[in-house]
Amino acid sequence: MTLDHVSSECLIVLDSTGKEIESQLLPLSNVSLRTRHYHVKVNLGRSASSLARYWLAFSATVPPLGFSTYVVSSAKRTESSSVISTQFTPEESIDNTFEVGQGNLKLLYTVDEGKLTRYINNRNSVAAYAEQSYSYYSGYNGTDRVFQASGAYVFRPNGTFPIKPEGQVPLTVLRGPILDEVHHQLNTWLHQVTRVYKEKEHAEVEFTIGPIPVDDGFGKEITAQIKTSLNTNETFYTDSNGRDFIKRIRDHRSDWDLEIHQPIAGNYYPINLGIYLEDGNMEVSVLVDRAVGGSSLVDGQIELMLHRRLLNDDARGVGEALNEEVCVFDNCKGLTIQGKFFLRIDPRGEGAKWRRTFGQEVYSPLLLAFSEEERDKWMSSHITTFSAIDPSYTLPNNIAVITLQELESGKALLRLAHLYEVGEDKDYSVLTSVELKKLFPDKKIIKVTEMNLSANQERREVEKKRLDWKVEGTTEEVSVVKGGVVDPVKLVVELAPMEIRTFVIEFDHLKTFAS
Amino acid sequence: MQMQIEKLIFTVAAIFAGLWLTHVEPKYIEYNTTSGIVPDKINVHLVPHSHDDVGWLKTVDQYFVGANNSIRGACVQNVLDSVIAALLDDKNRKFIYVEMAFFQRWWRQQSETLKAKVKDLVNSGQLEFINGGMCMHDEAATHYIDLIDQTTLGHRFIEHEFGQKPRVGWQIDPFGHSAVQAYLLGAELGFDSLFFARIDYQDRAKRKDKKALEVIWRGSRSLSSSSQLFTGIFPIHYEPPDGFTFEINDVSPPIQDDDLLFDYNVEQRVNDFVAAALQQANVTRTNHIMWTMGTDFRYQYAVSWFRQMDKFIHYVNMDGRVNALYSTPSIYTDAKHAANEQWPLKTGDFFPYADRENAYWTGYFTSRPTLKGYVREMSGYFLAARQLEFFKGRNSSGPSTDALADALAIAQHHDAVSGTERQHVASDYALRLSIGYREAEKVVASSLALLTGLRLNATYEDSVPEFQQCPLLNISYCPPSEANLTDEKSLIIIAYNPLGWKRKEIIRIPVSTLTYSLNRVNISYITNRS
Ligand SMILES: [Zn+2]
Repeated sequence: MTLDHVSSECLIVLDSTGKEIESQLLPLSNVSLRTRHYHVKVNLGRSASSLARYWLAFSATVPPLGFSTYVVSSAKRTESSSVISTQFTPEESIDNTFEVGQGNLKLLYTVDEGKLTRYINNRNSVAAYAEQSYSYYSGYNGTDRVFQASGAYVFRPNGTFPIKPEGQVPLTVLRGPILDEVHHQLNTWLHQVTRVYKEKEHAEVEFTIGPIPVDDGFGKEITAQIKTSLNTNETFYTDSNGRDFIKRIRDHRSDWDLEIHQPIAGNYYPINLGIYLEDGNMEVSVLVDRAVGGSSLVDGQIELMLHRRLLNDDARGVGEALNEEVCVFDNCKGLTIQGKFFLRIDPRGEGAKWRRTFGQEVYSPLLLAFSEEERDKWMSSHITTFSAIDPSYTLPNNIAVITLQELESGKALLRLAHLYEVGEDKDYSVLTSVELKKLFPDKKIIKVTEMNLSANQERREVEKKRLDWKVEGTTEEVSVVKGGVVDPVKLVVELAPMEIRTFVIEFDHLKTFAS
Repeated sequence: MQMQIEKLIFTVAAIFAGLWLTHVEPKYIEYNTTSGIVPDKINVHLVPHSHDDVGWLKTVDQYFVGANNSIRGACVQNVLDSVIAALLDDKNRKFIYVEMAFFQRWWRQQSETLKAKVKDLVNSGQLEFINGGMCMHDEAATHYIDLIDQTTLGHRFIEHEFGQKPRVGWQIDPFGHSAVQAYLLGAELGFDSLFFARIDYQDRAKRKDKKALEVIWRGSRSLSSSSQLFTGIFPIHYEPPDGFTFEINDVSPPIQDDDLLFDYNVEQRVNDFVAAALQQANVTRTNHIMWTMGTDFRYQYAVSWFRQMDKFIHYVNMDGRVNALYSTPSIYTDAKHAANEQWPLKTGDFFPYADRENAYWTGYFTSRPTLKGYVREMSGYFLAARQLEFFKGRNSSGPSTDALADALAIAQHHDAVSGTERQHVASDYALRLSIGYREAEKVVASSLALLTGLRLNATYEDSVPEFQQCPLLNISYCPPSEANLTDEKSLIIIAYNPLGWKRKEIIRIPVSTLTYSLNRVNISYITNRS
């Protein structure tokens, strides 16, 4: 095999304390360079003003509601610099497999076809068969409500076609101390990078899809499949608006006996956070970076629809085909999308922690801001690490701040959300407390008013007005636990599973960090 | 029919006799529309409404001002102007208004005099805000935090301007309905009920048979009965029954009750009304039924509807078989509640939605994946930017996150993030998001400048740094990180964590400063692996 060895005068990364930390350089793939070249023009109307060659990757540790500073400098000879990824194309091996992953998670691929075959976590001894592939549905070319087309609203497939890798060398591997990457070029319009981070136990799949070819006269809807051997008994779970998970059973509705006319489209559900499967031993979870449709059309399998390009209007009023294009001046081509999904396999009962915690990280990525300065000068004249909350405090792992905003009046609007459902996790599906004083260590809270969700009235007013309704056939009322009233002195907020509580908080005066 | 013939004979006879010149006076009819609920009759709650999409075939602003009417003759200004006039004309008339993005646009253009009159209409209950978010949001492709934010924005506007709190969820058009909508964006808002039209055609047929279109919905397994909501599904759609639509170009026969004119039809139309009411009563529990009197962008000439409803209420109640009244979903909900009936239980959600055998509306879960991605990315950014805005303190003259809040709010509309709008409208949502982002970016930069400069040295003049951000990082483009580094110039990266717990994560940025040499060497794969 060939290995690209790169030596260079390199970069060095320092953390907030000025300590050198490990970093890795990954060359930008040709696909990334092409995407960059084209879309900089699309977005800015001109060519890129800079010339990126590499990704620099390093591990950042950041305090709650706060920031850390990292400094990237060109390395002096005495310093250890970033490690350049080794790059190779697997060619042969004894058992026709190769492995990626520097930490607990290992992914095994076949050398000849470049196919994912196994997912292994050395920490918790999960070892599972796992395959990942793409296919497309050919969109039904209809004209009206009887000859129903697949379109912006309606999904009406007319045949399923696997997307097989084209060409001789479908796969390139980058390896380094921070992460490994597996690059697949499936065809001219479908590329994916699978990343395994040393410190993480999930696989990140970044897909670049498009322009979807339609010159054969058929629209297409592109899907990704993750295939495992879990015995899932037609059952899978999808989230409701990124919050509660709802049990889905293939070809089944809980409210009536379903007549099946569309065995694929009729089993699709909206996904905003993720979809998961479980059997007696394991859970397979896939999280998404945006809203997508998805399903489990075969036991053990998860399918996500990632992109659609269609040539017919589906007769629901919009009057346009969903045929998105991107143009540089007058030169237009079908839309290319890039996105990510994340895969993890856990022992049964342990998947929720990752889905909830990592789900928050997907929704709220680190916000990066850049400046330039001589490094010692910056470090000596700036705050390099900051947390808005008490340094001894952290929010419990099952609680998120979903709103912290200043209202016009100088008051704060705060929403806290419990991230777990009843029974979802043995440790985290419990009543949990948050100390408001520690969330606002630099301010004196003088009044906390609990509001309804949209903060237009006090919660107790809502509870007083709530109408009581009689429900047919229910006798036993399950008692529901909710957090109690907030004591104005202790200022501790309790949250029960799936509870969101909204507060307007008044401070003794609006003291900002500047004053 | 009998009556019409008699009238015709009378009219013809009168003309022949020349009597009309001397005996028939022009007649003003005062319609009695004061009716309320009558306990032992079928009560037909007429709920005048206009379904105003916050962008679909046209952009939100085009719909508002009535531009681009070659696409669709729709002007929300006409709706609000003419509805307000019609309500001021007759205090018995009622109207609900739903989409605060439009109402806000209209409101800020009105005179103080008119605003005072509108406030009276709201206080008297003639004009009621229903749903009350900036838009009627989609329920499939939306994140709950965005739903909360866009609803809060609308509700606080209503609270601020009118001191009112919407009581009812009105999600009449979204293409399937989520559990989170019911319990979180319903019960937890303090709503008393939720109404909508679109559920699976098989489900609807079964529910009609069992009089189960109105249910108690417990959307959350965890919160169960503590967050339940009375939920009404319309028997057909959110339009009036066939034959009762009265926009100026509509074909429903108006009531003709002038003796002097041809085609007098009061009795016929009353019969039509009663028949339609009985049909609906047959699939509905209690003696209250709701007619949704309106549809997309209707009431552009509001009196055209109100004139007919005035007459229907007058003549139907004179007839007496059923009772017709001007109503709102709140009045209807209270009537349902007062009936002390038992309701079927609903758990889970209403996905997927199909309106016929081969028409599952599951494509839009993915349609326009880049817009969906952009909305989600901006949503996360907005959450972080507002935190940073809070740490810094809002500045009334400087940049704020408000434009991003507005842009994100309308992007939740059921023809926005859903991907079911025209291309030029999708571009409009994206443009608004990017404008909002650019302003929020300034808030973020100045907040970080403040927070990083806290320990600032008075002599260190340029202690407030310029921070740049990289919204095109996803296409490997980030000019500040790609800059050439020297001994005097390092790249400073501030990584802000909006989560309430410490996190460890890999940062990846494009760099270009290397002077490098490439040597290709052959190494066996097995060696490399060991
Ligand atoms: Zn609509």
